[in-house]
Amino acid sequence: MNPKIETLRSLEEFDHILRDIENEHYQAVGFKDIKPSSEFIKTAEKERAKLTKKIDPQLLAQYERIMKRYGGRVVVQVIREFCGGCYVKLPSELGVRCRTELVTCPNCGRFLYYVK
Amino acid sequence: MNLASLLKPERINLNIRGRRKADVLRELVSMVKQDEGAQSLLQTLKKREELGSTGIGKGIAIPHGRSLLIDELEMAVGRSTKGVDFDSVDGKPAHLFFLIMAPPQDRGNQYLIILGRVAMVCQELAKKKRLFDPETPEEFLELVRSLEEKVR
Repeated sequence: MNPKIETLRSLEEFDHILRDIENEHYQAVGFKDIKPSSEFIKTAEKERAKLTKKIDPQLLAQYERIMKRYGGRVVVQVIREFCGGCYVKLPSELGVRCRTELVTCPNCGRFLYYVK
Repeated sequence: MNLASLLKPERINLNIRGRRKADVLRELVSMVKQDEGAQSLLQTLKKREELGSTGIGKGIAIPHGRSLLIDELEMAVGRSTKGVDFDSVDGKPAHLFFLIMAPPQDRGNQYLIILGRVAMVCQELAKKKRLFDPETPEEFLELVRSLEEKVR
């Protein structure tokens, strides 16, 4: 697995946590320290910042752009030979390259993640 | 959507063996994912726990997270008679573990609604001191079903 794609995946998961904790249903569950001003958010943001430092600024900008456009699902699984985000069939060479390289879907621009 | 319909007997383990948080998470994950992605789910859950424990007290923990390796809401339940230190809010060991995994996006935020419902049912379970009543996964499901009707 390409380490860059793993970092992007972790970053997206942090962004989902940060998005979810603002939701009223989440706050109602009663987890410790989830209010916006709490230590929880500070730690999450600190961890997120650590991750972003590992990412090339251009790549990060690309990530943020896709996140803004789709509101989530920036890194998607390749399902057989299809993009797990827009479900367009990928060229076969991309289906192979995404196993080791950082590649994006030519249709929606999402980052492709391959799992056996 | 209700909890009882999301829970499957084969994903309810009333005899969790792990004595540490990481072991419990591993056992729970193994019920929902067995392939290469299991390790990645485990990492997601551990990252979440590092930010703050999902042990909500009264012997209950609700490890949860979103992962791109999940296509639809997945749940698993574990119970430990001895209890496991889960860094819970009340500092007491956790006995009941409800794992909830969701895809990055889901319609109507079902994941968060289910999370809230799990918390309500669990609190009811603890209040009525019925954590250890069920002896089989089917009995556990039946109990969840009855409590869910009450908290609705």
